[in-house]
Amino acid sequence: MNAERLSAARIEGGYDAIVLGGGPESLVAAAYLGRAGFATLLLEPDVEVGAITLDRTFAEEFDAPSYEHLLYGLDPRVVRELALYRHGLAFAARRLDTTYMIGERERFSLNGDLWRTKDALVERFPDEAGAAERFFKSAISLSENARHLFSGDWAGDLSSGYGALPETLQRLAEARGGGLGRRALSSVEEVAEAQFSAPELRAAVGAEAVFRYDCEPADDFSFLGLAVRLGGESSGLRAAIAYPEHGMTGLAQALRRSAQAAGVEFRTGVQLSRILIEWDGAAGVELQGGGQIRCPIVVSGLDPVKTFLDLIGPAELDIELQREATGRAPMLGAAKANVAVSADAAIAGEAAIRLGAPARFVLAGEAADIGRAYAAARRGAAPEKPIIEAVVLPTPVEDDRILANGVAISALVHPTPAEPRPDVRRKVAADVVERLAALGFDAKTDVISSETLFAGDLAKRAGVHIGSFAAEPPVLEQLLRSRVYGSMMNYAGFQFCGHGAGVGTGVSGASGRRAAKAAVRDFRRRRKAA
Amino acid sequence: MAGDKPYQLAVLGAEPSGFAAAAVAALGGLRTVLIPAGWEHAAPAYAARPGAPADVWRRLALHRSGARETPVSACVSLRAEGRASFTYKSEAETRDALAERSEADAAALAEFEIVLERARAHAQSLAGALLKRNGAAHAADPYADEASARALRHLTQPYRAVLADYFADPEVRAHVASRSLNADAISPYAYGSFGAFADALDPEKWPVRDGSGANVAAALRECAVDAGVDIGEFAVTSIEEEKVGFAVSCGDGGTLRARKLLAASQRSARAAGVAAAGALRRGRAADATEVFVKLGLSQQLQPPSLEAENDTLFTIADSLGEIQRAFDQARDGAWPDKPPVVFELSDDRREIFARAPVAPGRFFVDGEARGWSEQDRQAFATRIVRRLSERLDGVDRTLRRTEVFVVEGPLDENGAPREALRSDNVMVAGGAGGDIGEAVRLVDVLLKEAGGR
Repeated sequence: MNAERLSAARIEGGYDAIVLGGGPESLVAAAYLGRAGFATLLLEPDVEVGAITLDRTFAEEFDAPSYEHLLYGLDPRVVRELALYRHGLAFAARRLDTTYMIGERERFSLNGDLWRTKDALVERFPDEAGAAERFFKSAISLSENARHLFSGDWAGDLSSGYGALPETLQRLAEARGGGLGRRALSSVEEVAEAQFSAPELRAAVGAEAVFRYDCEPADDFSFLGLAVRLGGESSGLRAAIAYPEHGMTGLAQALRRSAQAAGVEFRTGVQLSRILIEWDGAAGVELQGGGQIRCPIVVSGLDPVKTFLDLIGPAELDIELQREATGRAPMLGAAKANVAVSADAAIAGEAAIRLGAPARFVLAGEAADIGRAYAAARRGAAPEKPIIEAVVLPTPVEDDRILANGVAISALVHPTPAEPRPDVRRKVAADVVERLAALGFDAKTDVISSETLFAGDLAKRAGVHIGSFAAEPPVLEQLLRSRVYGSMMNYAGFQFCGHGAGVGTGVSGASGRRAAKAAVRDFRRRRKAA
Repeated sequence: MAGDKPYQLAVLGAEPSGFAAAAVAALGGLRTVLIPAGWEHAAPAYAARPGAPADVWRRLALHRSGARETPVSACVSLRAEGRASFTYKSEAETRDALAERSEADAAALAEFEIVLERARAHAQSLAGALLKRNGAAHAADPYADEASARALRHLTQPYRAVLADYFADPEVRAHVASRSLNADAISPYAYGSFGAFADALDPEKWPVRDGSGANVAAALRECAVDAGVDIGEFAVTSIEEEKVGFAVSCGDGGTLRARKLLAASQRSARAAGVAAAGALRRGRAADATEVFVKLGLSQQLQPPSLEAENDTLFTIADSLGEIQRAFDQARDGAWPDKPPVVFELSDDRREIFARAPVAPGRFFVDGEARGWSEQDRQAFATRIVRRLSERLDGVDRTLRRTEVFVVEGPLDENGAPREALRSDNVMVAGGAGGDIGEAVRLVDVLLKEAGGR
């Protein structure tokens, strides 16, 4: 169906629920609604459903993920309840090994199975390996204890957005994360410092904990970031860091198939003009051109500025929610860099990379450098040694020979200025390639093509507010924000699962699931009451 | 003192909060020693500090000593071109002063004061619940109003964001923020900094000065002596953690042992080289330090603004961004370009005591950390003098002498600052200038633990 026909000013009906946006959370919400027996319509403003999760060709013959390139905390309930395995989800790697490159020379690998950290480290850090393993165990255990905080399970107490803080803190303080309860709100630096002394290891866990967050390893609450990052491991998926087959496109396709199987109808290229709020409830959406689609449930997976300020309109909003949604111009974001390296490069000989399988690298400066990178990025300068998470994308091989022209590397670089000046852009872009060269290629001769996109560029390309690509506030703040978005919507039948509705970075499906479940529960209750 | 039975508590910092804490500990039955942290000689007697809270007055019967605290008459931010923003002890007066600039911001100030009050209550209650030291859960919200809910929400936010919510005028924001520099320097962009910020603006801690004669600082010292606190004469030189407790070496070569350490202020903790472990440290002060610059003048200085008097506490910090940049540069170990400055005049107006509350703790040269050299000190003093001259007429012309003091912890063999000793058995009372109330509260927690055993 195309937008032309819909633009005629007419009123459509016949749907029980409309889901806005085609990102992973929207697909999850649509699939749940469909499975609950609601006639569900998914409206995607973009030309393709879930464009942001699909691979994109960045150079001739080279594809790379548009943004997210790994999974950290896919909610196992979503996998199970939406039967994603049946719909084609498979993992190329569930516990991806990571090679850390800290400072100039330091280099070590960590087993993707964090329960075997000791074996991986014992040779390099004989005195610290045990302590590092205990550290990860306790972080996973804290992650288990704190799961209810980031899995969207707070749906029950929507009335108390703010009041949740003491209760949350209390629960965290009580969490017996291997004796870490009291430290649950501390900085990762402090917790690591208390457990082991190798500065390289401390820098590595610090980098993991604050990656894509707007807080430094020395800041309060930063340890929670690590706990959330290990959500995939602690939740029972046994996937600390996972790479789906065919990358994030694979996940998007599985979600899409699952939604289709549940009877969800898709329309793309739909330009929305507003969400209809009548009396105290959602009544459908209005399209540009004046047409309306009416239904009692609207779930938005679009970004909060678009959803709350453009589509609903400030007049309808609680002042706190407005404040939250307007936000502030973000200063930091993670830049996305894609690099294509020729097949002749030494990267093929890199021991850590089994071509045909993905490999993950984390490049960071020493602990103090991470803090300095934040300071530089915040004042708009090029950070000297930002944290780089690089994924060498799987490349088809035969007999140790690369079949393609070369190897694609997808990297997220954090922290970087959200909208840097041209000279800073160039410097960051050049630095990233330069530093990635440590993976085993020559930055001058082996690079076929490279691109670096900053938060502002990514937002423009995806047609969303820049906030969607900004560095996330620390976990506790995210949690409260998500509750504000959830609890402030007093409109019956409206739910939100866009950016900011969940906790953590990356795709989890938890906020889509929560939104759909809440919509269904709410709808049934209202019908019963009527 | 050396070789004796170990002390149950060593209080670091011969300052009012240290004396108060030591006195309360000794009265509670702990064998207590108080050791200077090493910066005390560098601050003049007239330097303002946070006031002593009412409950400490009562507990230590300070009124009986006849001592008095003199509140400073105003906190003033000096801006370029002779402009200034004022905060007075009386909220109403402050609002009136602000209303001349902006009615809306004056109204917002009233609202903001309420939120600050609620935030302080929440922060205290949460800190208690979190530390699990007093065993209490977070108390039910005593106010249960909208401002209270908002205050709770603000606790995890950076205070920059909160100020932006209330005040439209960036100069007003900078002025309100600069008040936190008086008591405690808190990083404006750090998430969760609002709690400490609210605390620093507590009206109970309005800056006070101890005049000559019967003053509270002296009375507190007396209380400590009367309670049986051993008071060391020589400052701490190094501290080692032992199996049980700490070995504290002092300037006279003696060593004493103590089970627990309590630093009476952030400043004393920094000077002694200790840090507290555990939840909710304040701000991001770890890499920053404080620098004192005393300027002797050949003539009496005119107070910089008609309304300002001698006993005013002045700050120079033009924006929140400037304060944050000072933090970032301190962390970078980079030379600060516009360090915020807090300063006050001596009674005869022939001396300026200036404090840079956020300065680099160490500098980085080719990735190697080094401490402050004599050149750094002099160059920094020059920079402070320049900042003062921009806002104060005649400082550079009448300048006779400068003294610089950097609040530094112990150094290692290469002259770089050593990492602070971090331990669960170290407690640090907040506030650069020593928060008497908090120091006493920490001692109460200790006494409760000791009593429980």
